[in-house]
Amino acid sequence: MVNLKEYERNNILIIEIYGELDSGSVPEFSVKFKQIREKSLLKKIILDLSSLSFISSAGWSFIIEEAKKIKKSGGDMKIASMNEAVKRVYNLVGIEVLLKSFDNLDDAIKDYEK
Amino acid sequence: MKNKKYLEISATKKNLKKIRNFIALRMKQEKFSDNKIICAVIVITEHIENIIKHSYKNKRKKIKIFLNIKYPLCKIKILDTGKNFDITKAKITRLKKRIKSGTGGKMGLKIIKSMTDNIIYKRENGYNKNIFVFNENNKT
Repeated sequence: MVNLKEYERNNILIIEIYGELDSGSVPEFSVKFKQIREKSLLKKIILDLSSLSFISSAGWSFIIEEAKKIKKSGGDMKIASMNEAVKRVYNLVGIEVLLKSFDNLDDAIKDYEK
Repeated sequence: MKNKKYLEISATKKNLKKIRNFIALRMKQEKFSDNKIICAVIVITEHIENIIKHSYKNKRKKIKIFLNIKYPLCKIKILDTGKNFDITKAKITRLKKRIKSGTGGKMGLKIIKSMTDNIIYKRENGYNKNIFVFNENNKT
């Protein structure tokens, strides 16, 4: 079970992810994520992962694919507020080559404002 | 259920959380650290996702999970009836390149190999038998 909430701040689309993301919840996540993206014109996106308790490589694969698509269409996506378990895998597999991460949401927003 | 150390369950995406909870609860009872429990649930999730996708090809088949816990060691044995696959010999190549290009394949293998203290593979009686060892005294 995974839930998403979105809002706008400083012309940035913030998407909060709640729950656990594995191959069982990726299809549901994919539908919800695409719905949010389709109704927003914002090109700058931050995924707020503070309420994401677990993510497997299936979840990361989806996020990586979407980040690439967003870049290709002239946008950008960053991630913020990972817990230790999530951050561990992020660092281990080297996701930073595509997706920048920040300890908190404010730092991610500041990075867009540079 | 509380002290059960064996689980036979369909390898389905919907059961992943149930399997994670089964392992986390037993390890918690045996006083393993959150860090080691996280390693175990991440690794086992990756392994079972691989079984579902590659070994069972999304067909509904069962796996057997045995926990052998003697602190500081936790051995998790998983049996599946899919085609032979020796994870200890699998190679991980061009992971960063894949990520940069927007494809995430092979991440699961990297995670399994890096977050487990030891992996033992055997093919016996038509089963792939994988034993994942987690040692609280190792800083994985």
